[in-house]
Amino acid sequence: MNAKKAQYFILCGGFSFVFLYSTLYNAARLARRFNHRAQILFRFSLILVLTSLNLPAMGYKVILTVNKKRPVNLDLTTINLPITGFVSFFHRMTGIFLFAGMAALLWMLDSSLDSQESFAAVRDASANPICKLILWVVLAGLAYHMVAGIRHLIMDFGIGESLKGGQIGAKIALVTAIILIALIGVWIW
Amino acid sequence: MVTSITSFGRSGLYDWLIQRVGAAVMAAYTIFITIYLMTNPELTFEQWHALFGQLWMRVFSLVTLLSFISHAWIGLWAVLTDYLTVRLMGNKATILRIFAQMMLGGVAITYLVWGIEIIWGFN
Repeated sequence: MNAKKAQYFILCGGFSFVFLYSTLYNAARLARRFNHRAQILFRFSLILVLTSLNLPAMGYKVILTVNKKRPVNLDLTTINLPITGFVSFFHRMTGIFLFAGMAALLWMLDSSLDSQESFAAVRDASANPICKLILWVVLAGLAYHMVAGIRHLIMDFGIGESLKGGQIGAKIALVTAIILIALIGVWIW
Repeated sequence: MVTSITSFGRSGLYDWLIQRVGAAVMAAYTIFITIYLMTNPELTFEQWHALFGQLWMRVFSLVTLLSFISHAWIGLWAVLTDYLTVRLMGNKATILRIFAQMMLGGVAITYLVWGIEIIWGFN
């Protein structure tokens, strides 16, 4: 244990001793006014509070959180993304992409409704391999974003919120999206 | 409560709700259009024109457009406030972020006006 750590140890220990003593004293005075059941509840919660307060005195957490210059590692190239992280990251990426891709979809809607000729132009453009590829990429982004979004909605209802549930949900979403993207490809070509 | 934030609904809960209601509307619209296009593989201009000429389809399209704008704005705001931060970008981050927000806001307004023109502009 280094000197700095020891100082925090003593400081936290001292504070929690004073706090513990005064709380217990006040609690004992208050408890006389309560009925038996309330006393038990009060004591139980007191134990919980004191235990959590004593954690720093034991030399854990606070020493770590007190140091404001702690390193923050958000360098994406050094983080090994778990599947849940990948699905979330890709959800964001497709979201940003779709904001741009919306221009293509609006252009298609505009032309398809403008006149008989422009409707035919959209149909002809849809036969062009490059246009097909662009449409497929935009619709693939839409399919992925929608599946990942539905997963979010399901999780908002409290389903699959655990670590394991999140991983399973992410896998289901990924597989569903891949199947949908393949189907869209079949539909376009 | 902090109210001086630049998000869409100016509260996290409100943004959360708008984004999800909008998502549900857009999902319904996407599924509807997909089923329509799949059941009409030989779609003609007259059919398509008649579909979008009906009032309910115009309202459905407009609500979807409004959902898209608000949903995208909330999402992009979240991304920008996560990554264009002082910690990641230094002191110029705020200016950079406001600039990016204004640019994206401009695009969003363009989509909105263009979209309304498409939906309600033809006879």
